[in-house]
Amino acid sequence: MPNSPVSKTRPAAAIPPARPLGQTLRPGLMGLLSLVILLLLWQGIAPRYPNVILPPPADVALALARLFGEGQIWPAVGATTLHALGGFCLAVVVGGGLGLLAGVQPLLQAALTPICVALLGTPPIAWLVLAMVWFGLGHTNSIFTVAVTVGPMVFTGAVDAMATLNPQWLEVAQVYQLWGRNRFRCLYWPHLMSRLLPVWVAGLGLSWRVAIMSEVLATPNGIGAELNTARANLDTAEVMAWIVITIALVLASDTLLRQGQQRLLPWQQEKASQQRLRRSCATAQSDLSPVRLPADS
Amino acid sequence: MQLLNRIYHQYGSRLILDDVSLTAEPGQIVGLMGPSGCGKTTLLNLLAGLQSPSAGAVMVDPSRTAYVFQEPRLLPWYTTVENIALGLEARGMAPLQRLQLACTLAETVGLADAAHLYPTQLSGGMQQRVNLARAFAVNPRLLLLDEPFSSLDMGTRRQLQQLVMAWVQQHQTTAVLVTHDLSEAVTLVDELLVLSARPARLVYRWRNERSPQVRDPAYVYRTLSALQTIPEIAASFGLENPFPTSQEVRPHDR
Repeated sequence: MPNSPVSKTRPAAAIPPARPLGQTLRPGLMGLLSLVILLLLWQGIAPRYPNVILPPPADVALALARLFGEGQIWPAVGATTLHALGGFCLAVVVGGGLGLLAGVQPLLQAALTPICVALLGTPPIAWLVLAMVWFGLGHTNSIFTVAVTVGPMVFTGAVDAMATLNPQWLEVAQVYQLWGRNRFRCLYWPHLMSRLLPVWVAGLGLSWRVAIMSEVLATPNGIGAELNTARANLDTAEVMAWIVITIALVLASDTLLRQGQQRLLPWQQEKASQQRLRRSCATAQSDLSPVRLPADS
Repeated sequence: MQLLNRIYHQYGSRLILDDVSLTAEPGQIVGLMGPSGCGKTTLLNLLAGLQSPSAGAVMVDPSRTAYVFQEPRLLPWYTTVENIALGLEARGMAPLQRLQLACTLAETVGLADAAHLYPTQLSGGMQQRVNLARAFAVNPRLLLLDEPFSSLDMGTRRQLQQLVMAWVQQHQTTAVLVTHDLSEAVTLVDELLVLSARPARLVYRWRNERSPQVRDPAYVYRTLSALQTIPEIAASFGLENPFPTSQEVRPHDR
């Protein structure tokens, strides 16, 4: 549309100003530097201990290469992905659906909140024990444990999302005659997405960790099961290799979802400070408690 | 054009509006003034169809009504033009046409450079401009303004006041303006209605004898000081009887 007023106005304002290269590179360089220092420290300390306690980084790299070479990694990653994503999807569908309903129906919210609090307070390991009794050893108990751990968190997020819909916006929607589908598209959908996506990012991060934990204890496949086997064989280098794989997997899923979030919510650019805060929170135990988001201004 | 006929409104057992009628002509701005919390916003909400009166008739077509809220109330996920185009959504206008109209209006209210920014990137004054443009976009027959200029700096306020006056005259819109600012009232309105404290009753009516083009500062200040001595108007600022000796300068058209 070459002649429309849309292209006449300056779109440049929407693009953040370019920062000097040095400033964009420096944080990345510092991160790399600290990683290198950590590896050097590890390398320095490792010879003092037997391999079973602390293998040197090179051994871990070799173990990692072997896992890739023998193709042992793929079925394990596949199984863990199935457990984490399966449980997560179940949590989103059931927890999210109930949460949205509870958000519009106060009676349902009053009925479900105590259950949700009880579920949030139950450690995942307790569910795992129950799941072993109910489902035996297999995919089901992993998926169930993930779903029952992440579900209440998604539920709370969904209730919160409905509750934070500004009633003033509803008045705007009414004055400007937005009904039915239009109102959903212009008001509910963007608002719910902006509230739910951050909860889902945190929930998926938790899903990976719970899935691997349950595999270590009660599932014969997946990364957790491989960890357990490697531990039983006293192959600490391989244990560490699996941990590296886990980290890579969690980081990849986190980055992917966050990029989707930025694309879907362009008006909500996360500030660098918020990003750091969220990263440190994501690794803390506080994952298991309901996520409270800062109010929209 | 009759907008409200003998409206009574109760909130619980408290009477808020007591027999209020409102008439306004196209191309004119009617001002509403009264003590804080007397029910001015309720009155606008009734006109906008956001609330229904306990008794009485509201004779307004809500689909041809626009409301400039006191706070901007922009949707944070929409850019300036998308927010302006919000009301066109329901009118079945093609998306491209909507955006073109919104862009034109963004220029009208002085936001050409901010057309593609999100509300969080705009200053308070700019957000209020979007609020105004969003109301203009639907080309309303009735334009409701709830103290839209009260939080703006003087320059922006003047600009937006001029915009509203020009728009109302050009499009022969009927406008109802709630205000706390007497000089704003004298500058903008053709008729000023003063409401009493709760329950709100119409206690004073003042007609601006000058047409919008000839309300020069001298006229505004002169009228302003005369109006301030009227007890009903003074009461709407919470002052009981500011200048008891000057009762005789009261305009007669009560």
